Amino acid sequence: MTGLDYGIVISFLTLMALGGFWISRLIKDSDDFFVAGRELTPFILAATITATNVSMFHFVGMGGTAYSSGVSIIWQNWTGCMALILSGCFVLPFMRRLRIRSVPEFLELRYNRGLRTLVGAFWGIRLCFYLGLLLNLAGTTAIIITGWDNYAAWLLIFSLIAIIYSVVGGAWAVAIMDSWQFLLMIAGALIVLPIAMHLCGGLPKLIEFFKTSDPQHVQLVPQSGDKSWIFIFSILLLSIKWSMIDQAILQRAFGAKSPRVGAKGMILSALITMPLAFFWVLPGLAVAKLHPGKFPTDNDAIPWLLRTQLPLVAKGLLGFVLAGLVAAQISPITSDVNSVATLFTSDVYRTLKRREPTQRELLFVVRITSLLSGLLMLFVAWFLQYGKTGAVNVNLMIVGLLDMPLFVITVIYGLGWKRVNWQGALAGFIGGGLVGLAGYAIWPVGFARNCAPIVSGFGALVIAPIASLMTQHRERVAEAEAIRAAMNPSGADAEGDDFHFVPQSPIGKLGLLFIAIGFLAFLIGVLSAHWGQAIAAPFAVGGMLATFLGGIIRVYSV
Amino acid sequence: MDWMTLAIEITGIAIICVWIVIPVHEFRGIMARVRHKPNLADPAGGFEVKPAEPIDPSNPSGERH
Repeated sequence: MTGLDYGIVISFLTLMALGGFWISRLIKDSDDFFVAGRELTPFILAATITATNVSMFHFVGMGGTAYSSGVSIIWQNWTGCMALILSGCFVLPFMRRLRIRSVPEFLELRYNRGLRTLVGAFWGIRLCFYLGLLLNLAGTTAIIITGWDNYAAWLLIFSLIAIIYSVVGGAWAVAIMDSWQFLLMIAGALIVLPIAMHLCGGLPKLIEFFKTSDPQHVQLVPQSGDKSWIFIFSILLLSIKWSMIDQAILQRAFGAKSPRVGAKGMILSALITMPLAFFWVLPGLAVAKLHPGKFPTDNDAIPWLLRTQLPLVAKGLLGFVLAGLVAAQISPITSDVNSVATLFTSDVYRTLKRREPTQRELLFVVRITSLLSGLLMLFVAWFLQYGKTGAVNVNLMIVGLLDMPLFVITVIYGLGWKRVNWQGALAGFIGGGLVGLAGYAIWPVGFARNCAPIVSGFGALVIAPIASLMTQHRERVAEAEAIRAAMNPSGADAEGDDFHFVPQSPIGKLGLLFIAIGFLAFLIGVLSAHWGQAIAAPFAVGGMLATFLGGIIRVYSV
Repeated sequence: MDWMTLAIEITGIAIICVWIVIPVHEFRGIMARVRHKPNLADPAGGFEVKPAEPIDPSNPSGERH
């Protein structure tokens, strides 16, 4: 790293801070801070959702996995895009129509206030822990790329600007600055790909090289191996869960101007993320050819490419790409800090208070919680330097045990079956987690961790209805009617939006048909890889593209 | 540059161009809408002031039952 490189990164960070302060003048009430005043438009929404989704993990982690296991890691991203289409068509618009700010708020509407407070507090703490992990990855990667071995300084560089403009500018600053960070992130990726491809003789030659030396490295849907069809199927389930209940993603989409705009934002985000996945997977593949010897960890592959090759091309290039990586990391941090603050303020503080707080009080509390969650993130990241593996495993364990039960009670029973009551939801949430935990007592840890989402989700699916049928059902008529009206309004809703769960026009129904056929073709393709069928990759990719086409038709028709 | 890399690069550049032009246009629209929104968190910025309700002689304390 030269002085010019450091200068570029510092200039970028200064611009981000100034931009955040300038945007803070848009904050005039708590809804501005939580959901950007529900004024976001489709393209800004798509940019902020993409920037929230894409972090340094994609460039470094996915590139590193492509280096070691091959191109099929790209499905981690592509299944996420398909899940965004499903959420954009079938879940998000109706939650947005209810004018909620968080997923726990939906739980209060559907079940009761206690469940909202419980889930809000749990989720807030979990996100702080996850933020610490994100920050730790950013710090350790920056050390490898730059050679400047000062962990504390990198933590401060990545977090201080993010914390400052999250505290001052809230969701407005997150949304607008995410849009610019999204552009810088792509610009950095646009530089790295051609350099990597040039070094290994071009993409066609790279594919030919692996077809003769290690065919599985370039198989999109492998029959066996670490990232086989089973991985693709599992990651699809987790992606669906993520796109439908993840607070950071949904909170951005709740900021949409209307339900249909929210749906458009999610579909556009899926469309742009799909081709972008090539930018972080292909350089990893190139490193596998350029550096056949093993790195200490897979995460070292992309930093090695950047550190050794970019300075040879032009001065300042490494600084520009590093600024793109910093941008990629700051946007999920700011989004998650904003989400944690929303959860603690809206779902914990507000529900525990006897009287409704004033706007001024809410804004004060949400800013304080933004600051505290940022400090907690720094605290977690600092201690992760002494024992990261254990912390990562604990995080994976908690995600595996409790996220799928939450998805089951929120989306499957929350929207799908009104007989499930709050006792059933609570029993499903906790019981599902305990069933998953039992797996750790029976199976080896690695296997139990991989199966935990399926086992805990299945546990919640069974326990919630049983507990509901065993307890008294007191129908919440007004709330049930509000949810029903949100999914199928008679004509346009109060905001003049006419997005329905089932499309009203023949074109809209055609879009739905494309989604159904595409998704089915994708599943056939992935599952056929079990028998080593040649149709696996064409069906999986074709199905994904048909799902995208159906999504576009659906959200742009009545 | 080979044709595959070129195609991916052109797609990336197209995304950047579209996502500069359209969001800037959308942001101007947002600014025009939110500029005159009252600042509810700052009393000096203009709380909405409701007119005082007339006192009910049968319930002068205004308690609700």
